[in-house]
Amino acid sequence: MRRWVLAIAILAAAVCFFLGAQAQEVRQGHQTERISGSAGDVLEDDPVGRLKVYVYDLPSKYNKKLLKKDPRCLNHMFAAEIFMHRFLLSSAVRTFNPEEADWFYTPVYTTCDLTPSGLPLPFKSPRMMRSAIELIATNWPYWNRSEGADHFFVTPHDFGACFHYQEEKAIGRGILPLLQRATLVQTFGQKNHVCLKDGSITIPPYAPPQKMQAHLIPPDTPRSIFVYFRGLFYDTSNDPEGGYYARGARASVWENFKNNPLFDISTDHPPTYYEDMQRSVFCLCPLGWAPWSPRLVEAVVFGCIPVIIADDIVLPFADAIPWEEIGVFVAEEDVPKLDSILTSIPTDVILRKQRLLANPSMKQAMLFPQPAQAGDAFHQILNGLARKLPHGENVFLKPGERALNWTAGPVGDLKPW
Amino acid sequence: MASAGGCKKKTGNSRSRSPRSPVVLRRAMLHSSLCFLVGLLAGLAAPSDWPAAAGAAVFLRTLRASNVIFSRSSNRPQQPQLVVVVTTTEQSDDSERRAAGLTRTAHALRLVSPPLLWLVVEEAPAEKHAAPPTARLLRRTGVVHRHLLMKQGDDDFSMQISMRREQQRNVALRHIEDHRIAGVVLFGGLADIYDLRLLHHLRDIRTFGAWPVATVSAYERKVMVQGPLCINTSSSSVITRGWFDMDMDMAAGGERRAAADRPPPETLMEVGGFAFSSWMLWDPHRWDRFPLSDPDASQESVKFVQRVAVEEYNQSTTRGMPDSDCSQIMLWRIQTTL
Repeated sequence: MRRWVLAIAILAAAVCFFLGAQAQEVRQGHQTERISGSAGDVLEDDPVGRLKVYVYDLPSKYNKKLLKKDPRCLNHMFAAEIFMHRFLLSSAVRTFNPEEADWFYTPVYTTCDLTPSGLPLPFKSPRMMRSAIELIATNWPYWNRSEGADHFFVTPHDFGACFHYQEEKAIGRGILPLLQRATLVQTFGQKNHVCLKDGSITIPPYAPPQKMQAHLIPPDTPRSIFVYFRGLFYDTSNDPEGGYYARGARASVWENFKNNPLFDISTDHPPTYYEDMQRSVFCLCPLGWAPWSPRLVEAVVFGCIPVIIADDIVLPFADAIPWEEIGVFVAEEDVPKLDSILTSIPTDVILRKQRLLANPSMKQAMLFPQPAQAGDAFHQILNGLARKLPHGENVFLKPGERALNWTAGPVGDLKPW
Repeated sequence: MASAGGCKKKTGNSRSRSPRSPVVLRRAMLHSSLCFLVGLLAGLAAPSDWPAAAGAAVFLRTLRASNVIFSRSSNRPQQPQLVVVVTTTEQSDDSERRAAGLTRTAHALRLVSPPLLWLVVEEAPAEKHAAPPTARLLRRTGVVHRHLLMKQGDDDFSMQISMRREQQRNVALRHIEDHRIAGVVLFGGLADIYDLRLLHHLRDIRTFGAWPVATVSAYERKVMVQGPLCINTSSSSVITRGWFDMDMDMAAGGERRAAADRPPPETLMEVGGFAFSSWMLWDPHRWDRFPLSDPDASQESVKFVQRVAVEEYNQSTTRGMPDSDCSQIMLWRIQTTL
């Protein structure tokens, strides 16, 4: 008799302990996690006092007039070029004395040239950029001092300063010769690519922060979607035969997993797109025409583990954001195995990634909010520029030394803008 | 509940005999304390707040489901079949009833072991193409679901409810076809109440399954039962051989009218009474047999499915649900015409 009572008591205790542990686990699921001792802490650096930026005062035809002509420029993926300008104008790192500046910024909106349907096609960008550089080189002494090595430019187009929307042509063009010494701040990032030069700062594409904020749902909403993706699988208009678009990776996702009930993938863009990401465990971020897409930003902001399918991608602020720890990397050739790759990730690994993603500094670094906030993408750009200081010896040219060839590049680019 | 009842009974019986056999008493005490423990645990484990508890649980459920699904490719051939539940929603001016119906269905589906996919179809105004209240409700449930929106045309208000429901079912079937989602498909309505055994046994269906449906008419005080007549030929195979209707008139003190046997329906079958394996949606042999003379129907997957259901009946390949004699009502449908 006593034995039974004892056994039951032990059983009850064990069960209570088990339940308690489980409840603990559930609570932990909502906690965030800091990445101590690794690069993650860099996100919280304050750039103020570590660098001074001089903003060239250009005629408004290089910036404000373009925006006035087409206000849609404020809403597309490349709007960072406009918001960065606005941010710097009122930033504490701005200096009005060019002599004490560490960096020079030329406010030129090269991607604010949209087709009637709203696509930014950078046909005029090279001439616009060239014209702006000629202007600053003649009116101020600072360009010629370094031929741009202490200047930075925001060039967020698909293939950055190669200024073409088709990869083949962009590669053929290469980076605009006049920008060869400058530091480029761009969304495009792929290793060993002519459109990505050493020392560039890769930034996230612009995603509208207020809009994303408006679609936030309670954080305890169950994540009932395992894998989520919305977007094109085939680009039949630009790649009718298939195989080029996304190097076939998106087509492979569709063909292999369209019938998998765990893969909520489709070309429809539902009104609940942002909400659905918040109830997904994994969000696919495959390459498209370029390796990056706004999904990277959306996934991080909405706490959905990004599954990055883009070989050799250079991710935004990769020196500060521990992408390896928050995301999952799948090689393009492994897409057919995506199901087993994702389902074999242990639960505790997934929970850890979710906790890291819940870290507000990670989300903040992906956004360009208005007005700017500490730790946001603007500040990460400044941090990146500050980390390049002090300038090396080769930044400033010796008297009489010339590095740039002003007549290099396609003849069409040399025409006045 | 059932187990708790069983426990009580045993305790009572043993107590009366206790002076004669202490062993029985001891066993009874063990039983009752175990039952108490189970009840206690059930109480503790019952999620008082559904979303909070669901947060991690659903996620783990999803994972577990995924492991099960993908084990197919490796070495376990016996993996559970996917259950696809299609729920159509009524007109948009009926939002409270829709919320109630969806909540009830969600609670039922949460009790089904994964893998399960819930397709909820809803009409939305074409210009908005959004239905935020339903989306919000569905998100909270934690059930693996897809919310499919159907554009609402201008002329839709004149259309009969049954027609619109049919259109919604077609939207869901198109989704299943486009994605080639392989599983057992069940059509549900907002007024449907399931016997859990039905949901649990759905995945045993290989081609078609059918079961008795009771339609409760709240205002006429009448219950109509429709279902397959099943004949158990051997221990393993169950075949359906007919179809019956039975009216129970509550107004007349629950008097039963004799069940009227009749041959299976000849053209279309009411979708609430059967479930089918989705592969027949893209089975060319079945499409070949589909009469082209009926161009309207051939455009509509629902009609196709209903027609194939009749065929299956006649070939006696339908599985009776949930057990061999199909004698129990598996689905209650409440008709309210407010």
